[in-house]
Amino acid sequence: MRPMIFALVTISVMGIACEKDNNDGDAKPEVKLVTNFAADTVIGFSATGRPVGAGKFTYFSLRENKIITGADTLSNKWDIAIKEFYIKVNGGTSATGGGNGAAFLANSTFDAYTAVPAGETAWQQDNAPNYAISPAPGNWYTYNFSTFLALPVPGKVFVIRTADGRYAKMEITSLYKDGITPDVALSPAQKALKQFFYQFRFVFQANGSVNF
Amino acid sequence: MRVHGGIFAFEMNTKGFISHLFLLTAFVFGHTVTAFCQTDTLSGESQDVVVTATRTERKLSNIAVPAFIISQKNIQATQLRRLNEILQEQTGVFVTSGSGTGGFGGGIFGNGAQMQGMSPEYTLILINGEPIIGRQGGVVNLSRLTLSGIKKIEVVKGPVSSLYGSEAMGGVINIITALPHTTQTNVNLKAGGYSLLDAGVNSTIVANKTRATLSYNYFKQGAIDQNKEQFGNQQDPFYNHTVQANISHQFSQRTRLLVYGRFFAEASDNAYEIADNNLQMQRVGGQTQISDANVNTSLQHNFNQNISTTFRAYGTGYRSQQKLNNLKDATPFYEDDFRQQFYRFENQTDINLPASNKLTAGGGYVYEHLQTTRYEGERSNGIAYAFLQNEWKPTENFNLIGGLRYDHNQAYASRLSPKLAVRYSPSEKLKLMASYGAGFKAPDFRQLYLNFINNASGGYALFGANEISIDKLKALQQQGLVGEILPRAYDLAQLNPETSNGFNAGATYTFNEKWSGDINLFYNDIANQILFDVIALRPNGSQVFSYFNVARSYTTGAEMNLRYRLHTNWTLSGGYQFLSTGDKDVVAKIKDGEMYGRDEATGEVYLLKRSDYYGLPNRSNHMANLKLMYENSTNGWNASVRAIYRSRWGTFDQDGNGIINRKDETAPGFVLLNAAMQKQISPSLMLGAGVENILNHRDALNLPNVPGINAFLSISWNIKAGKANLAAKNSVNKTQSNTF
Repeated sequence: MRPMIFALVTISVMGIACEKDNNDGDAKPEVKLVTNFAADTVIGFSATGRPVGAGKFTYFSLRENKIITGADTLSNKWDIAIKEFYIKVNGGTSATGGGNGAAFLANSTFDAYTAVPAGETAWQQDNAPNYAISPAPGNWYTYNFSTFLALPVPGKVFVIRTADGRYAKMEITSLYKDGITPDVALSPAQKALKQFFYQFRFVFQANGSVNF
Repeated sequence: MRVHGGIFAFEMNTKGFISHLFLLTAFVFGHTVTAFCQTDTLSGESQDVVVTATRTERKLSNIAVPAFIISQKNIQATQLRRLNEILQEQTGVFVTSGSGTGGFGGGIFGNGAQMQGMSPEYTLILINGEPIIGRQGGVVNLSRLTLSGIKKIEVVKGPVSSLYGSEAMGGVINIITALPHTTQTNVNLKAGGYSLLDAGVNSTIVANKTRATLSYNYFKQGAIDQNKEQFGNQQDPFYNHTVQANISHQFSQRTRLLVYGRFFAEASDNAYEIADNNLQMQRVGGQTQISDANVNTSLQHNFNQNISTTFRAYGTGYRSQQKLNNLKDATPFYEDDFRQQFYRFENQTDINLPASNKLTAGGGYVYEHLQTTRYEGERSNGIAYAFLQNEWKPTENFNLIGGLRYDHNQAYASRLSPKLAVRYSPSEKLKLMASYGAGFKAPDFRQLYLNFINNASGGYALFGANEISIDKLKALQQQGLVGEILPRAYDLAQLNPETSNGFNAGATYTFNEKWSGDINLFYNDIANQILFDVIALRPNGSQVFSYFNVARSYTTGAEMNLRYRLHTNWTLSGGYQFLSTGDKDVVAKIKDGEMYGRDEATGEVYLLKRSDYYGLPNRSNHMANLKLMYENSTNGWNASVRAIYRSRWGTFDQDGNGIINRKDETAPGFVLLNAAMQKQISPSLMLGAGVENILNHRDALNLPNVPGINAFLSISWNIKAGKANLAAKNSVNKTQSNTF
């Protein structure tokens, strides 16, 4: 029987108490953790053994910290959408509500990235068939052809501008179910079945500031 | 071709063979040789002569590059039967099933030899000076090669493309087959754990001007299954047959013809568990068949004392076929057929020049052909080459060698490979040597010609560098076959050979009659390493790959050996290699503060320090061996105990940065302990027994090919024509000193 993975999609959200930063007087926004974000999880394999999903993006609102479905996926209400290794922003050719979303990757630890520099030139928007964040292996994840494991590259911070011009930083910490990298001794198929359950944490700055 | 696993089979075996140096180079006959032997080879046994380092016969002690010999005696004392088994016991040689070039290339392509930390892809494997083809994933599976009928194995470390061209990037292993001087027959059998059976016969006939050895070997190894919960084996059971013929005919004092032929056929029974389109696990099984044949003919002629020439013609073919069926309903699951041919014609001329110079000049043409179901069409490539080497030896204790080779071909950039080596012996006891050598490895057929789009199932596409360009990609994009073109695609270019520059400096010292030792320091600079990378994405999201000259790395370290003759019959020897390696781009990124790691316990990201980086995967910092050998020709006993140590090594990345920086990305070190003993029961009969992996070290994940503790028994029977048979060892020694 085909596992009904999509029917069972759940996300769990955990708020992590944040530190107060008294220097700038602003309360730092909370760090949110999302696990088991099902981004086109595997439902079968091609004849060559390539894992295949249903081919659909899963849409997410950083502001609301929730999955967006239905007609709202054709609005400004979503900020990022993920399918396999493809990440859309709500801007450029992917914009569904005339928004101006954009993103880029910064080399930093999550905590050390505290502000988008003024005049940052790295911003990219989706420009079909290109994405703001390239889905090529080695950019923000690696796929190992010996172990068949996909792993997020450590030290990559996704800096995101939402459709309505708010800023967020995000770090993908795992591509596997419950955030646990499968044992390397498991078969490629067993590994693939646990794949594309994203675990990520993010900070959404609702006040329009570039500081996190 | 179908290979049957017969119960009774015979194999040729080296035991009791009287050895004679099998010459592939010039300097063979007549006065040149006589003079040569007096100055260079007479003082030692012929087994101390090395041909691989200079393509001419040289005494090992006069060689200016790191080299060693595994003698027939050594092979006999260990009672090992396959090339991978004996190589893994040598200092600084690591026999690995992984290619070790990073995340790509797993452990499925058999056993290759890593030397001085250089990948098995960069080791050239020769039989009687001619290359073995049939690399799978870049690696020649050394278990294809029997130790039966072998006179010795010569190993030269460091790049030697100045003489051998492509693949001689990290070193050369040259197997020299035996051709005894007396008529004799040997029948041999070894049986042991894991259904090991090695059996054979070999026969030598010596007529007036002709000597011929014909031999047959059967080898069988049962499955190694270290994880019973999982369907399938770590190593599938296999069995193979090797037939070898070695013929020498002396036309005159000055002219000799040598012909060597070999045929090999292997079958292994495969069984795997693979998920089908509905994620149901399916059991598939079938057979892999490998065959290869070689014919090597050389004609040697001495014009006079100072000029000799050798013509060589070599042809070899390799075929690998795999057919897998679904085990439940016998429907076809996978089929693969790979055929490769290699032909070479070559001349080498050696000239003694005035002022103590010896010149070696040669050239030839190689034609390679490939046919496979993995991609359409047939491919071929031609390589023309020339080489020149001069040795200047003004005095007995000094020589200077310079060499150069040019390889020109149709499919990739041409290559010039220089070499420089110097030796100085201030005293009888001390030898100092230093050398520089360049090496290269040509892009292989898959890197050049692979053209594989899987339209039917929406899979990935993989193109050889000669099959794709940015313009072709743009054309495919217009046809809707390619979506996004990645920036990497603009780097597509003609592939260059992978290259190495090797530096070696060392010394050997004989303390006294009991103690001797050697040390060698090495540095290898490797550039233009070929890896594949994503160049574009298909509209359905799958990836398009091609090959690039991207990686740069280094391997450096020190190797030491110490020998101690405890007693007339006892010898203790130890070897050690320290190795440090790294990807140069990774080292630079760490230095620039651009590499991060993820903590194993907390998952927190941290900036990497240089000390966090373990270096290239599949390399151990420390490797060592300790061997105790016993040999007594009066009571007919010989025995050996060998311990092989390897320290922790990097396996695969676990935190996404693509490099080895955490302990859980490494495999634990281990010791393999092997012992063997033999007794001469009668002049013609030898009995043996032994135990391998006495400590029973097992690691299903990292050492899938290493079986647990196992024992064996062996028997060897020699029949010699003519006079009564003395102890085999005595006659070996006697004949060796009578070479020429």
